[in-house]
Amino acid sequence: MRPRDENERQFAADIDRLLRGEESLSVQDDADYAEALQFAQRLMQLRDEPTEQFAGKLRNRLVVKLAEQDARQEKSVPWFVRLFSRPSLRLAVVSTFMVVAAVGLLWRADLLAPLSPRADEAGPGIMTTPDPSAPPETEERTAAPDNDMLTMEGVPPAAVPDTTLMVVGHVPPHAAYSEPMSITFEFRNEGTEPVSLAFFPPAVHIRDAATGDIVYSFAPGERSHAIRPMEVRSYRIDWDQQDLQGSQVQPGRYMIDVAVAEQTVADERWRTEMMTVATFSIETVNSGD
Amino acid sequence: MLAEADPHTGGPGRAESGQGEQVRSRREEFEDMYDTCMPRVYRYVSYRTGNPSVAEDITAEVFEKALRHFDNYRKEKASQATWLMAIARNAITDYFRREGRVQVVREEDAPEEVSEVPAVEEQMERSEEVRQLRLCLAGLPKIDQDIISLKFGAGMNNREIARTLQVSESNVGTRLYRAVQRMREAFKGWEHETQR
Repeated sequence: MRPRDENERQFAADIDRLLRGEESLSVQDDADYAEALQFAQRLMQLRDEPTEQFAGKLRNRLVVKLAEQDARQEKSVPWFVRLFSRPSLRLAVVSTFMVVAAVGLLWRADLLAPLSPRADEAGPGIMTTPDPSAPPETEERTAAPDNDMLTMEGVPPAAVPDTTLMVVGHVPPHAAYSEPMSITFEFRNEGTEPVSLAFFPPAVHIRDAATGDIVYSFAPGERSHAIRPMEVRSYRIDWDQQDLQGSQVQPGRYMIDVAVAEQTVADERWRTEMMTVATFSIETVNSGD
Repeated sequence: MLAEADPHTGGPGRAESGQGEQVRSRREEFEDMYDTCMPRVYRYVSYRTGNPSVAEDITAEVFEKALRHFDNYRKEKASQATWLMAIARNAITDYFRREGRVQVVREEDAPEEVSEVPAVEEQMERSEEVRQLRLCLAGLPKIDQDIISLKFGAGMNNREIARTLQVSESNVGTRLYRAVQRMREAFKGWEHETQR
């Protein structure tokens, strides 16, 4: 018989080995100890594994909640902090500031003075008027596919990171108050390998652009769907402009987020990307009507 | 797979540059934690409750709570696995309190044996054996039930169990050995009865 302390230490070490699928290292000279190890192996059989369906559903739900939490946190940050915290906006603001500062310095140093009299014959300077021959920006925006369905300004087709999948949201840029509206999504695989989507159709959130609050959510489906190379898969949802409490939402600007759950080829893990794919406005109620 | 590698201890990341990157990093951290720890949490809860659907509910509750408090998590204080198991332990305690404070092992809770050609009698015996093992577990003090479940369910080593339960590592070793011996004695008694 070994001392009890030694048995306890050895027992824990042997269990850890058995749990790793290895053999126990103990010399089986102690019948009681050997029997305890055998019983421990019985206890291992009580272990139960989570189902893949449960794991995937819970993961998806948590990712959606995480996005909601992030939206709420972002809302609580002052607008100027938010402005500077977005890399693209920060770059734009800093660039503009530097250009203005540079012009100011040149102006103060009188380096711009000689140019002033010849401004009419000068080439394009820092401050130029728009080229009248260029098409107006609004025309460009109205040149959208699918009749009057438009991707929203400032939201180009969103690429799912590390994949060849592009997601485009089509929605009328201006919706009449309380009029039911349709939102169409296109999932386009621009690569040469298939992309697997899970929980299709995806979860969709409609958020108030001013506050970041989610006003309405469409729950995700449970199907899986593979999109072949160059294939485009469309999906449409109809929204009656009611919020989660069943009340008409207020006029204003709204954003559409999509939770795309896809499987990466590299590690075969499911992951979910939450992307803003479109925005639109609900027009103010016309009191004269 | 019975035991995973040592749980990683990374906390919620705070990328220095930009809100967008910060949010992404935080989300990636949470997703990594979920992928690494969710199966272990589920196994622990399932081991402790003996009911797969209850285990799913409690596991979901644990991760929702973890999500709400993710920003407060400090990796210097505890590994993610230890932190999550502590939340799970509280959730299990709440569950048993709600359910009337008594851990009951019902016939229908015993998992069914999965076998290609199961002999009905053999299956029933196995089912009864599992039920009996669960009864033996339920007969232990709460802390010993946790030690057994964290060891055999979550596959934690004694150090991790000690940190989760806030006791010494040697205490975990002693309790584990004694708890298994007690369960073994109780199970032997049942086997002896059924063989007579």
